[in-house]
Amino acid sequence: MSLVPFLAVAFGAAAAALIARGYRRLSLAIGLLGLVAATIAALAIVPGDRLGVGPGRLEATEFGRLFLALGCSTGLIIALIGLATAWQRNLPAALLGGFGAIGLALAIGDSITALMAILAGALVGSLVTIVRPITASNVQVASREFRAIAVAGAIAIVGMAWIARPLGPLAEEPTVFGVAYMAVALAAAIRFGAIPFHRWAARLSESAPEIALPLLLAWAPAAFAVVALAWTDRSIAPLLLPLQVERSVVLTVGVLSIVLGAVAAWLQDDLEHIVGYSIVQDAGFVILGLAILDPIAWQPTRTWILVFVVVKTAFAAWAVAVRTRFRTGSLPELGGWARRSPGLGLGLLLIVVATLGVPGLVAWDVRSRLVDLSITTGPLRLLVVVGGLASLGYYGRIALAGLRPPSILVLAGATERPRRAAEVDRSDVGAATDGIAIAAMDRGSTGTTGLAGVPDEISADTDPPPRPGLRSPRPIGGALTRFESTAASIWRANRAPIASAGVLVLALTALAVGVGGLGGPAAAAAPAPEPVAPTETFVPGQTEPASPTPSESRAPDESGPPSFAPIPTASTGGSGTPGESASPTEVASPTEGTTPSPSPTTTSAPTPSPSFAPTPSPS
Amino acid sequence: MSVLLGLAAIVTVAGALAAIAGRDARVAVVGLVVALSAAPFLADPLPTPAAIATRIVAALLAGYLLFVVLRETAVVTRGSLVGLPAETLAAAAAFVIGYGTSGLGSAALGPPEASATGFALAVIAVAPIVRGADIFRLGVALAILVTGAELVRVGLAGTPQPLEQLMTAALTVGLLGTVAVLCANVVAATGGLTMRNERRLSAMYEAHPLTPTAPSSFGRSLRPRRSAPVHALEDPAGAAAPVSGSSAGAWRIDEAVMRPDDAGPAAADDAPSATDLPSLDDAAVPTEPTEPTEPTEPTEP
Repeated sequence: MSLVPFLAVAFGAAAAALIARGYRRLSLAIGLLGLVAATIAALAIVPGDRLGVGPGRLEATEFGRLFLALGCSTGLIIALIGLATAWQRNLPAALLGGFGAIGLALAIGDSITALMAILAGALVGSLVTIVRPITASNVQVASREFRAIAVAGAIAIVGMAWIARPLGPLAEEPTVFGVAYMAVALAAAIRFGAIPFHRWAARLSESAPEIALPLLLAWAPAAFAVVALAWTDRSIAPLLLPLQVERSVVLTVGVLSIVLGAVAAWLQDDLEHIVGYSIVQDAGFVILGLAILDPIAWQPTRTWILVFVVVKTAFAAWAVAVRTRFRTGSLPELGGWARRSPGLGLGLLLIVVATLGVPGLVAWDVRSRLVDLSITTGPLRLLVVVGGLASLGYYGRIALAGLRPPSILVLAGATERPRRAAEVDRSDVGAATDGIAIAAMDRGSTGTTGLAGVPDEISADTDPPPRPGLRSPRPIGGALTRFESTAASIWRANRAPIASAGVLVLALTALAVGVGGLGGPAAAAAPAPEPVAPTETFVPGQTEPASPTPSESRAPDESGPPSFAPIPTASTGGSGTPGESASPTEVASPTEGTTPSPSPTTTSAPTPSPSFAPTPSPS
Repeated sequence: MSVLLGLAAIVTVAGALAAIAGRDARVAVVGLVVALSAAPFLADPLPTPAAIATRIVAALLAGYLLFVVLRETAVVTRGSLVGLPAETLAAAAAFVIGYGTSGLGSAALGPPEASATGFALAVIAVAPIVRGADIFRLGVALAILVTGAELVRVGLAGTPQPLEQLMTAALTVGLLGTVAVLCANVVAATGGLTMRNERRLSAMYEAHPLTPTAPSSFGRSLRPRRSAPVHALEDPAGAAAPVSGSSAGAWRIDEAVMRPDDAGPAAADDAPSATDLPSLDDAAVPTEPTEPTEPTEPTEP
């Protein structure tokens, strides 16, 4: 089973990095090498491979392979950018643990089991939420994220479990399915921090390190959404139920997130808030995908999820690079940043193109498709279209700031020109060479970490990398020590270009996914792993498994074959009551059921039977 | 109701009550571990022995993670806001409702005791989740809520498969591991479990009367002051100077102000922001905005 090496590498390296946490360099090496190995192991996953785990099984999929490969590779680049800018020493371990859990969840067919794996992996994010100096406010923000994860998980578990059994007479009630669907969809919205559940996400954006925002706000919630979408597509969408009210609620959340998220991002001055609200805004399209309730939404929604996570990772990395280089994340103080950093300017341009795309590109097409499928006509559709394009507002605001004359802080920032190690000391003396008194003043109290004008409390958020020049020589070997010292000096001297290069690589990756490269649309169209015994699907010709208790086994099992027909409301026989078995002649044949009427209330459907309900998982 | 299921239900609910209502955090941890260990027995048919063992080991491991954080401290949680009897009655009512509505309208695949216990745990967990200023109580309540959701799932859809049991065990460890991490950080930041930067005022009054020259139990001298504004920070000369944001360093304590004049370097980081100042539930006396004190003019000889 090709998934096992990935899981072993991810979980093993995460555990090793955490155990070796006291030895910073060892932990760092384990984490980075673990991310490299996990990327390779993810690429080596063979779709379709299966591994039995008791009665259940794990099944590798093309989507899971691409999701994990993108996650681990972009995570590695994020970690390198963090190493050059704002380091968070638990980041590699959190990335590895999180992606290990996601890999496990995406290979599990049973939705509830997969959901639990997703929740366990999301909790690893708490390792990177809290930064020094540790204050009660930081912990409170982390606790809000914890609360959102747990509450969303509890709601989704109950929602999924409610219809994972023979429903008997409840199968005639579309409201039952509607409530379950709404619970799962809103749990996904809570997990994304979609408006109006955005408060915890907004606080997290300003408290957590920016370098960890992609994991906390994009990757882990996206995996939750993938599981929720698979459940919806398997359990709710085939029924073609009239769930207008429930769909409207979910749709409202999506539309609010798209429109108000763009407005909020446009209003904010701080980069971390802009990144946070832009994630909320783009997550609104995922919510739209959940609101469509049609199997046709499967491919565009999952394609957008792939685009979304990579683009937001690149945007967060861009924000980290800008903030640490110019010592400020405030947009009014970032005048002229693009003039001083053309590499970052190009990176932002690529990110914008990858996010919005142009007609003909995948990013544009899937967004348009999601809007078309969710809202057909009316002013609401126009609002969503305009809201989706409104991200140009905050991107344009950032770009305009970059074209203004350079501000004093931007002038004090490091350039992207590669430097030799010998230039480090001169740059460490700082921006005083530029006559910037403010930067020199601040640096005098805190010291710098290599980027001119970057104080320790920003550049080394938790653990400032050790200064090579101050490190005592070790008796291992002179050559090795010299090589290490030289490499560290070169790294330290070139943090700005390294960060820009990392951002460019991420932006190019995002663009590649946004234009449909890397096999994204094909992977998104691939089916989800099937449960061993379908718990919530309607397979023609398949009978339900026996109930665990003899008294309950008669009703679902003797009621004839399952049907694809929508649940009728005009019951003629009232045979849905448990204990009463419907005659096989009264149940629509699978052939009839494969062409359900879109209007279940008006169709002359056959007598309902308990077999309309999702079949239970074997116990 | 079989004896085993009834016993498991009672033990689970009792453990959850102890976890929520206990003021000693270590007692609460024991109650939580008991509840989490008894929860896998609420299934019919029972899970495999390996699955049960996995769940119990996970509960013990998760509880130990919390215990490691709490054993070096004498931290006291707030306990239940409504009292143990009220919590017990609410849990009992929810248990009865859950038992009576087992299956929620149709035949369930699991035992009604599981649904009933799940309802009871959810009700127990609601109050700390809605109003959780104590990170330990919030974390414990979230763990109980998720356990309750799992029990409702068992009651509705039957005994989980071994793979789901394994994921549940991992989720248990993840939940309480997260609580442990958050508790360790909040204890390091504030010395207690509450997610505010200030100490409990009642404890200070009990430990040390506030006198003009007596040092407080936190290494800061306390000096009475008339009508100190919340937003004001005293300068060494005694004149009030308005400050804003997180640079505020004064705690308003009724008629006294604890001055951070001898606080260490960490005090600046831990200083409460404008939003972290004592709230009404902690402050014994509601704050009322007053004018800053004016420096007294020197009298002529």
